[in-house]
Amino acid sequence: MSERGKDRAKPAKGAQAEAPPRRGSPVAWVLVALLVLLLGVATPTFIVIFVGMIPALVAIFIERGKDVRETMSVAALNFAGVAPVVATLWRKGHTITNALHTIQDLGNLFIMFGAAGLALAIMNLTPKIALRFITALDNRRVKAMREQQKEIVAEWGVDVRRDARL
Amino acid sequence: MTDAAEAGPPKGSLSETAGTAVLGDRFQIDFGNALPALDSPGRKAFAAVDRKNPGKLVYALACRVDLPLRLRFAQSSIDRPVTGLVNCVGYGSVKMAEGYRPTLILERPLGGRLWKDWKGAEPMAEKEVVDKILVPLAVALDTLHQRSLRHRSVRPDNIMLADQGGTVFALGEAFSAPPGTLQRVAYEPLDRVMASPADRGQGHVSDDFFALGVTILALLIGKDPAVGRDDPVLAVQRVTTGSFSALIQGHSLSTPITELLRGLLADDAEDRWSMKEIRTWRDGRTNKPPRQVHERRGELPFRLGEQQLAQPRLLAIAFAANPGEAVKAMRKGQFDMWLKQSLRDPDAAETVEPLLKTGPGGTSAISDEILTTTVCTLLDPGGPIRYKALNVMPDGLGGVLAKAMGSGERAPVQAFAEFLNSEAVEKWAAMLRLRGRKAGDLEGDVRLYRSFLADGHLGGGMERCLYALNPGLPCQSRQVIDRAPLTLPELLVALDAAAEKAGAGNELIDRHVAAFVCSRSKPAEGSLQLALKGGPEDDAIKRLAGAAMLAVAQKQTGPPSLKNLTEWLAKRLGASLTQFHNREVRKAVGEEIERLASGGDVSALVALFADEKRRTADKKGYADAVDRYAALESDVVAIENGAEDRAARARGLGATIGFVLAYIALLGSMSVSIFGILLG
Repeated sequence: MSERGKDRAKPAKGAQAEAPPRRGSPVAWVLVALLVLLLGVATPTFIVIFVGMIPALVAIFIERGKDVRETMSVAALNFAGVAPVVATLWRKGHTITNALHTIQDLGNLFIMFGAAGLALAIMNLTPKIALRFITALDNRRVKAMREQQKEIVAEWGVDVRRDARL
Repeated sequence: MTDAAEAGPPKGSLSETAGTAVLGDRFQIDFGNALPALDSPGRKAFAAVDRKNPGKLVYALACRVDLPLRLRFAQSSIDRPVTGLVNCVGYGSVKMAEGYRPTLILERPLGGRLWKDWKGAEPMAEKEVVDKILVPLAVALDTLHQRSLRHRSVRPDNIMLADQGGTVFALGEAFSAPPGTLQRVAYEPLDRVMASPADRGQGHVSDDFFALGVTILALLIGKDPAVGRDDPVLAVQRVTTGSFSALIQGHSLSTPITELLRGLLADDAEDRWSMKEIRTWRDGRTNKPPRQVHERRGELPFRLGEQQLAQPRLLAIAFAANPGEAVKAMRKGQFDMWLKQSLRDPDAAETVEPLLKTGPGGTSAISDEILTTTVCTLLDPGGPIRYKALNVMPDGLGGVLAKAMGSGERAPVQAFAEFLNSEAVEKWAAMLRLRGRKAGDLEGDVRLYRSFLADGHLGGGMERCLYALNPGLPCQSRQVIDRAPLTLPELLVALDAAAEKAGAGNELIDRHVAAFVCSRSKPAEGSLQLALKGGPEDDAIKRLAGAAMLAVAQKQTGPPSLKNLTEWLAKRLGASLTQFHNREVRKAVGEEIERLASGGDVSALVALFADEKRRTADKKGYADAVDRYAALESDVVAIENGAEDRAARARGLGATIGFVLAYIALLGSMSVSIFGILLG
C-alpha cells in the first residue's frame, strides 16, 4: 500500500477529534423550505413573512446548538407578531405593492420585531425565575431532611452521627 | 520437707472468742468453751450442740480461710458416716469475733487424742494395738477407699479415743487440710517424701496403709520412729536401705508384727499390704511376702559437685535441688554414658543423649529446666514432677497453688504459671510412658488450666485455676474473705452483706468472685450466656458479665432474695444502659431496673439485658438508623453542592415555560388574525 493509501486508511487524530460538519437545525430547514414554497405561490406573503421573521432567522443561525425549544419559542412568538400583519396584507389585497407598503410601515415592523424582542425577553427571564423556584424547593427539601436526621438522633443517640460518617 | 504450708501464722489467726453462733439453724457453737485437746494445727476446736439431735455429741473446728477444706470427703462422711472415723456432720462459714471462718462440725471423741502430740506416749501392747487400732482403722480406711476417698492423715496424734473409757479408737479428722499436708515425713510413702507438704496430693489407697504401718510401729515403740533424725537424713536412709529398714532401725519386734510391718511399709505400692492381706495375717495365714526391692545403683557413682551419687532416686533429688549445676555436670560428665555403662539403663541413655548435645554457640534443643524435669523423671518415675523450685506430685497441684496464692506474693504464683505453661508435664508424662507407667489425666487437665490462664475475662485467669484445683477453698476475694464463703449460697449472702455498705463505684465482683462462681456453678444456660461473653475492654459489658455470673449462681443454688445485691447491681447496671441505642428502649429498661432493684432477683435484672430478641431488634434498628442518616446526609450534601445542576434544571424548566407561553401566544395571535380575515 502506498503512503497515500495508508494516510487514507488511517485518518489523522486531529481529523477524528473534529465534529462532523453541521448542516443546520431541522427547524431552520423547515422554515427555509416554507419560505421557498411561499416565494413560489404567495410572493407578497413571503415578503412580509421573510422581513418579519428576520429576528427569528437571526436567532436560529446565531444560537445554533442551544436548546431547540428556545429557538422554536423565539420563532413562535416572532410569528405570533407576524401573523396579524400578514392578515392585514390579505385584507388590503395580496399584492407585492401592498406587501412592500406593509413592511415599510413602522407600526407593523414594531409589532413583528417587538414580538421577537418579547420572545427573547421571556427566554432570558424564565430560567432565572425557574432557578429561584428550584432553589426554594431544594432548600425546603434540605430542611426536611435535616429534621429527619434530628429525629433519628433523638431516637437512636448521637452515636448515629459518628457511625454514619464511618 | 517440713510442714511449710502450716508453718506460717494463718491469716487472721484464731483467738479465744466468747459468744455463740449457729450454723445452718442446727449446730450451736459455744466459743466460750474451747476444746484445746481437739485442736488441729492452726485450727481451733469449740464445744457445739446439735439442736436437731441433742443426744449426738459434736464439736466445731474453726479452720483457716486460706487453705481448702476437703469438702467431697466431708460430704461423703455426712451422707454415709464411716465406722472408725471421726465423721463430719456439717460444715459452713461461722461468724467469730475476728470474722467468719470455714468451720467443720465433727463427731466428738470423748476421750480426746491417743497421743497428745507427735513426740510419743507409753508403748502399747501388741494385742491391744492389733485388736483395737489396726483392725478397726484398717476397716475404716478400706471403707473410704471403696468410695474412692483417701484419709492421708493417719498418724498416732490423729487417733482419737472415741469413748470416755479409752477402749474404742477412731481415725481423727482429715477434712480441714489438703491431703498429706499435716503428715510428718516418716508417715509418707517414699515417692511422696520428695514433694513439699502442700504438694503431696491425694495419693494412692496404699499410701494410707503405709501411714497405718508407721502408726502401728510408733504406738508399739511409744515414740515417733523418725525422732532424732532430720527429714533429709531420714529420706536418704529410706532411699538407701528401704523404708522398712530405715524406720524399724534398732527396735525389736515380734515376728508376726515384723511380718505385718514389712508388708505395710513396702516401698513398692504394688506390693504393699492392704485390707485383704491384713485379714489374712490376722487369721494366722501366710501372705506372700513383699519383694525385696533394692534401690538400683550405678556400678560407679556419678559426680555432682562434691557429691558422688550412685542411686538414681538420690541423684534425682540432688539434680532437682540444684538444676543449674546438674545440667553442667550432666553435659560435662557424659551422663548418658554413665546411664548406659554404669547404671545399665540403655533406654534412659538413649533418651538423654540427644538432649545433652549442644549446637553451635552452646545452644540446646531443650531448656535446662525441662532437661532437669526429664532426667529426674527418668531417674525417679514415681517421685514428684520437679521443675525449678517446684517438687509437686501430679495430684498435688491444688495445694501448690493454694499455698502460692495464699502467700500474697507474686513470685510463687508466677512460678506456678510458668510451670503450667512449660512443657514440664508433657515431658514428665512422656518419661512415665517410657518407663511403662500410666501418666493419668494430668496432661489434659493442664491443657484446661492453661486455657483458664490465657483467659483474661472475668471468670478466667489464675484465680479460675485456683478454685478449679481446690474445690474446698473459701472464696479469697477481699470483698467477702471476712465471711469465708465455702459454697455459692454463702458467697451470694456474703456479697449481699457487702453490697449494703458498698457504693456503685466499689467493685464487688472481682476476679476471685467471678472465678469462684464459674468453678462452683454449672455452665450458664440460654440467654445468660450472651451476657457472659463480655470482655475486660468494655466496662459496661464487664459489669454485665459479672452480674450475669451472680444471676447464674442465684438461679442454680439460691438464695431466692438478695435485696442489697440487686439494689447495688441496679445502680451499676444503670450505666450499662448505653448498650441499648434506642432511647425508648433505654427508658423502658431503666424503669424496669428501678422496679426490679428492690426485688432481690438478680436473674430478672440481668435478663433485662440478656433478652436476645430485644438486643437483636435494637441492634438492627440502630444499623437501619445509621444507614438512613447516612443516606439523608448524602442527599443533603448533593443538594448543597449542586448549584450547576440546579442551573441546568432551571434552564430546562425556563425553556419549557417559554416554549409553552410562546405557543399560547402564537395560537392566540393566529386565532385573532384568522377571525380578522374571516370577518373582513
